[in-house]
Amino acid sequence: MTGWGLRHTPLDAVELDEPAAGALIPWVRNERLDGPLIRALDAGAITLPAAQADQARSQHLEAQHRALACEAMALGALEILQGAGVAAWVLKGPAAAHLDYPDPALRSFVDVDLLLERADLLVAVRALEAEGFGRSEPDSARWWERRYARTIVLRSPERIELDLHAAIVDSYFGVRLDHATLFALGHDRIILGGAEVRALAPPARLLASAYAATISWGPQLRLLRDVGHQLVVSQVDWAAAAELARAADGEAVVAAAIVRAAEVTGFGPEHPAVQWAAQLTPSRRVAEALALVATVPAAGWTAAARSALAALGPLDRTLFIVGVTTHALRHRGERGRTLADQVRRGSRVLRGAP
Amino acid sequence: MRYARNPEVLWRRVGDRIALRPAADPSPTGASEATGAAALVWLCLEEPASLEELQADIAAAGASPVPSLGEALTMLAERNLIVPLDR
Repeated sequence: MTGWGLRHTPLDAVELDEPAAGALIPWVRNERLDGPLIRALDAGAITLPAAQADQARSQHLEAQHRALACEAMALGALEILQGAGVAAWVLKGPAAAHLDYPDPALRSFVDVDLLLERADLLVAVRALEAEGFGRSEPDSARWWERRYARTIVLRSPERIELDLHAAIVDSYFGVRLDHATLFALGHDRIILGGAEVRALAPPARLLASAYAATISWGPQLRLLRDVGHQLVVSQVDWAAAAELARAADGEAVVAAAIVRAAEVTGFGPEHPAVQWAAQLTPSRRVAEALALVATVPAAGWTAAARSALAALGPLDRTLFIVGVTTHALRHRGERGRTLADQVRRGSRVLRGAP
Repeated sequence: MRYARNPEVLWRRVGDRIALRPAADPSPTGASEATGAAALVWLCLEEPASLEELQADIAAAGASPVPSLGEALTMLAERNLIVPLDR
């Protein structure tokens, strides 16, 4: 199912019994793979007991209503940003759904991600807050957010999540990437509800998907499917994406996503991007940064922060740590930590201890 | 009279249903669905068409006539999901 629409060689049809189907449906919801499941059901590639097939169809319908609500919210947010003179590029779900999938119903999403120029990040937050959006997480010092924040998470008045990104990922790789090189490629456009919405140009979109698939928390199959669709369906110039990444030490990040996307979706080892990715050997520095990023799912944001420090010069490292520490101390009570807990934790982070 | 999909409506095809939402309304009350003849009308309106043209398209596709096509067209227009192009 993860390879639906991409797989090089078809799999045998499978019939799931009630317990297996009962496990599949919440997994599909969590991975946001309701679209591929319905296509597989319609094609007879997967058979579920009638009750669970109905449940899968209801889940898919609900997911599409949610995606449409996200798109409506995004259109309102983009109008506010335009009024504030802020340019924004739609990332991930809505962009991939409309540009890289043959039918947007194949790519579900539950929030909206917008990429902005860093200088616009706080202007955008202020403009959206004035129209009823609110922060989901405690804020940091403005100077720190302006210089180092990757994302500010907002909620619309309808409680839909809107992630404003000044960088596409955390970590060493997010800091090293000069996002101006992505914007310089121009943009693709999506027509949504009669309005034109900007998305990144194809190579930049592939880079963003690959970075997100390699450096992110939580379920990733949909992100790997995005990479697969960009390579196979949209036939994005992957060499141009690799070139963009190379300038930011991120070739191995893109390569890792392509190799994993090929593995989980089965789109074929003969694809030149897969052959390139499989033979790429990262430098020691990049390998270390990737290894640290690989600990993010277990270690959380602190691993990404430690990784980011490796990309900063001495002054920025100091400022970054001051901002993170101040934030952690200010909000320690909300996490149930004492001052002593927080000092011990900060010390562990700086030493690189688990 | 010819009709077109309202360009300010977001939509997805979900099996034999169409999930719809005005682009200006992200609230929970903004969601609606078209089923049956209304879904058929929506899908056929990929290009603007009149009721007669829709009936002809359906006949040309070898499908049985849909008696409620006119009612579906009226209902979608009343909900501003489709718009008349001329009067």
